[in-house]
Amino acid sequence: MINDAGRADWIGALGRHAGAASRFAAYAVDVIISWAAFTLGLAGISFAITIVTGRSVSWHLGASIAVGVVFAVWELTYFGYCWAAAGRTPGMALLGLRVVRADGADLDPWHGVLRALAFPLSILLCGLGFIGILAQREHRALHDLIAGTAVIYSWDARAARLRCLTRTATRPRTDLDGAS
Amino acid sequence: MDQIGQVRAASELLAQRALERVLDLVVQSLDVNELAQQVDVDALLSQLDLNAVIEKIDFNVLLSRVDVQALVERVDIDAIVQDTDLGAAIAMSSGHVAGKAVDILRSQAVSLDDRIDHWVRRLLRRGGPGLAAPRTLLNTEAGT
Repeated sequence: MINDAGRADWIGALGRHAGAASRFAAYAVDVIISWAAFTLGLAGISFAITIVTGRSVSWHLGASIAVGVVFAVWELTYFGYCWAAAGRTPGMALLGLRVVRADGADLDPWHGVLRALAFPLSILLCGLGFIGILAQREHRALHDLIAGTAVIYSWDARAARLRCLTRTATRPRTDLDGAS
Repeated sequence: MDQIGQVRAASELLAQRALERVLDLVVQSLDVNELAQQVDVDALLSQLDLNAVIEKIDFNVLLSRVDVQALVERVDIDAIVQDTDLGAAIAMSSGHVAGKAVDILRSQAVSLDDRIDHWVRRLLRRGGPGLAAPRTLLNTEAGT
């Protein structure tokens, strides 16, 4: 354990630029969610075609270029819609991250879409576009610089603080004494 | 008639003064504490119809005069949660369990972010603070 979840230190990070680990974890969660949704969608379409035509159809990623293209479009739609509508994807919501304008203002739909369109560039440049998350002072990747966005920590600090307090209150007295 | 009236007024005044004096003496000689101890409060309350009293109270008018917001602001919720079983009740709720898991995940991620940032700053020999906040958030969200 790197940090004790019972301590409220991390809550103070609210509003700061998010670092590489949080952003990578959020991205991993989003990839899993979007991939699962895409696979379920393909399975549903295959099932419907099988019922209607009587032929068994099996699609999977890599089977054809068309599926790959549809998957790429789906990923763009997933990230673009989430950023444009809410400024965060489900993975970002889980990790407590939010996309904002570079100056901290709320993200408008246009910049959300622009970020999604610029996002593949960071991948296509052999991942070099992501180096900014590590090296840049504001942890902005290439697509952030293009879209004029930044990623910050954003969560319900009051609720998190209350949960920390309840953990402290319910912790056995000996544990508290030992901690002090 | 005037003389009779004057005599009557004088006698009434005399009687009033005498009565006041007697009452003063009686009150001074009374031990109020002892008297209060002899009062059967339970019997007194049993004769009181509290329901009828409550029915006569207009609580809407009463509550409209109370500044609930100011009242709530004076309550130290942190202390209540720490000192009572309220914390345990919240802790046992299913929502809290999920929230706790999310808190752990976020705290670990933030901690790892700070470590990575620390290493990178050492590698690049960059001084100054670690993770900065956007300009407009420095005085609002980050400050809370």
